[in-house]
Amino acid sequence: MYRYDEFDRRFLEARVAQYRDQVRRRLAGELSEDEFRPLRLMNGLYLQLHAYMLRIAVPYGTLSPAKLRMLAKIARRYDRSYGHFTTRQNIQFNWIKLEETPDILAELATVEMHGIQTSGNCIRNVTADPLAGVAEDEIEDPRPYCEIIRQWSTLHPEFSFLPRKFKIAVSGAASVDRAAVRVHDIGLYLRRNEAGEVGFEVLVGGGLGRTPMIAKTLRAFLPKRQLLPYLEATLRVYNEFGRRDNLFKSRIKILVQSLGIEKMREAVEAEFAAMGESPLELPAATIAAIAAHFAPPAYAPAGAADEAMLALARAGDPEFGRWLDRNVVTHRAPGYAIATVSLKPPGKPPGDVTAEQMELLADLAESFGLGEIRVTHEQNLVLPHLRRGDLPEVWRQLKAADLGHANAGLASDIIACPGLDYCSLANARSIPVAQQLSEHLAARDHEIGELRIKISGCINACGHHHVGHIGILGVDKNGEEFYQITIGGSADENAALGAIVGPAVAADAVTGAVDKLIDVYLHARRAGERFPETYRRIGAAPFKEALYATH
Amino acid sequence: MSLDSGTDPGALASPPSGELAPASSVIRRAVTGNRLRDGRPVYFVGSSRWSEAIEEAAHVAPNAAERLLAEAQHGRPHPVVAPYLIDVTFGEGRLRPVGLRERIRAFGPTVGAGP
Repeated sequence: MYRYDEFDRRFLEARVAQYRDQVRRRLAGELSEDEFRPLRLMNGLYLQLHAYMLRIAVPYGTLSPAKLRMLAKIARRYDRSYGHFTTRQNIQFNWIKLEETPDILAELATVEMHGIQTSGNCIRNVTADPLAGVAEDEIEDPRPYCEIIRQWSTLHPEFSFLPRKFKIAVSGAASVDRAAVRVHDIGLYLRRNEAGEVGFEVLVGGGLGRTPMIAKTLRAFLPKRQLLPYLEATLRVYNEFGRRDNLFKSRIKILVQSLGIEKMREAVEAEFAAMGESPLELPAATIAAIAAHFAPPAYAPAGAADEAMLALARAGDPEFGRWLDRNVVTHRAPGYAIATVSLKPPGKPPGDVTAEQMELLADLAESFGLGEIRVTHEQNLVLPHLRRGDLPEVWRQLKAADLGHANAGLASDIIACPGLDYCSLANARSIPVAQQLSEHLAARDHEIGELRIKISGCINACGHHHVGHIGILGVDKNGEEFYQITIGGSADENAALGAIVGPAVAADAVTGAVDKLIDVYLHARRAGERFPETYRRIGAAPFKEALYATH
Repeated sequence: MSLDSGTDPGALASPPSGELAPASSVIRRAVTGNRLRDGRPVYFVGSSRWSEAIEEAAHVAPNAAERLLAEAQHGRPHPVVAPYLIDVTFGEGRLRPVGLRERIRAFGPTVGAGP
């Protein structure tokens, strides 16, 4: 795991001291809210419906036990003993007091954490495949490149006031996408070219929100050493030509749409060429030095006894067997496994985790998981290095803490934004819809199989509804909550935007509507077919018919 | 269940609109904002005082609302971020915000706190 050097530490300490003085001046009335707002937002502090909300960056979704224990401490001492993991691998606390935020940031700095790049029109916290470094199908670990981008982008003077926020995701997987790369402003896939060299496919112009778009390929293969100059060239084109006159048209996706990908490419390549030999080019030694922070831990040799113990536990407990089948995937190291810890107990708010649960997970990661925890953009956690023989004991402890649900990727594993229960931008509630649906669907989870339901409480789409197999968007109609349903979306390597099925349905009709859509799918699906494939094969008509037919 | 004292705005299955504004209630206006030091929703009571309890809010007829807002905005340093007017109903001796957003602000999330 990357550890801060002296420069990082001094920077963060200075930043906390600056912020402490800014808060003092705001409370004393020396700064107006207009003057203070951008300063607090640059530290991740929002003002929401009930209190301040602090969003803390979890760079590329990687946490240590010490960091998770600090988050538990923040939850307990400064909030209401829980936190909420977001769809960008960050964590949010919903009940923060402004006057306590300097102390919170000082505490976070002791474990190399902060809220920088979690708000504002800058390059945001870079996200990654949560299975980075452990997945079997990986070309290369993407996290060193995320860390390189983090170091380059943090407080980058040229890119701190972009037309709008800018999100980057990186994946090293060869053929799958677990990082929703194609719905980011810039998406990076590590690729191997015909000569066997590893570089990046660079995608641009993806995003959700009011105008959802799937990213297009800007450069099919970029040598690794050119990563930062090429990103800089792309950001410069955006910074110069991106719309600043219309908030709704300010993201890079709108620029790509208006120019067309060919002209966008020409502009970026021209800027890139004009940069000449850039000092940002990455020498192999620099990449290697950063990559050394992400070197695999010392794995113990696989043991036959582990497999025997695992087989015995599976045979003795079908619930454990279901968890193994659904939440555990193969690790690249023999004898090890990767386990998804579901933060979606049926009927509970998606992504919420208590201080006690955080501490348990920190203990488990320390005792059984080689000291690592990952955050997924699907609002779950991952223990990436578990010995297969330890899985029964880990699951037993997870289950006792309501963290052992075998629903990863299933219908009750719903993504939902905070919605109108917390968020000042929302038009409708998301969490209660997710609670009702997950409680209702949990019993059918294993019959239905993989199904991605995603819920947003407004058009900003923090709940990624556009790319849900079934997407649900809360809207306000004359003061009442209605929910618009889309189908056929996907956030993976075959990313697609869902299509609106028909008129929005009333709040109390959502569960019934989703049931009908699932019934159509179950009736029509062929062996091995997931919801999006069935939808593409049979079209929208049967789903519309089921939802709106009056006969 | 609501976190805070006050009335829960209602579970999703029972759309809160049904609870809003009984026919006999009268639309009034009150001033709210978020308290600077901790962000909590507060309501202008009058005489530079603010309360977390909406029941204590000063409320006026719509044609007197701007004057109430001006009074609420007076003072420096101001203890509340960006005070604004909201519609409330006053009926059966109770003051209630109109609109789900303001009801959730007044009475807390409809989902309880955390998992």
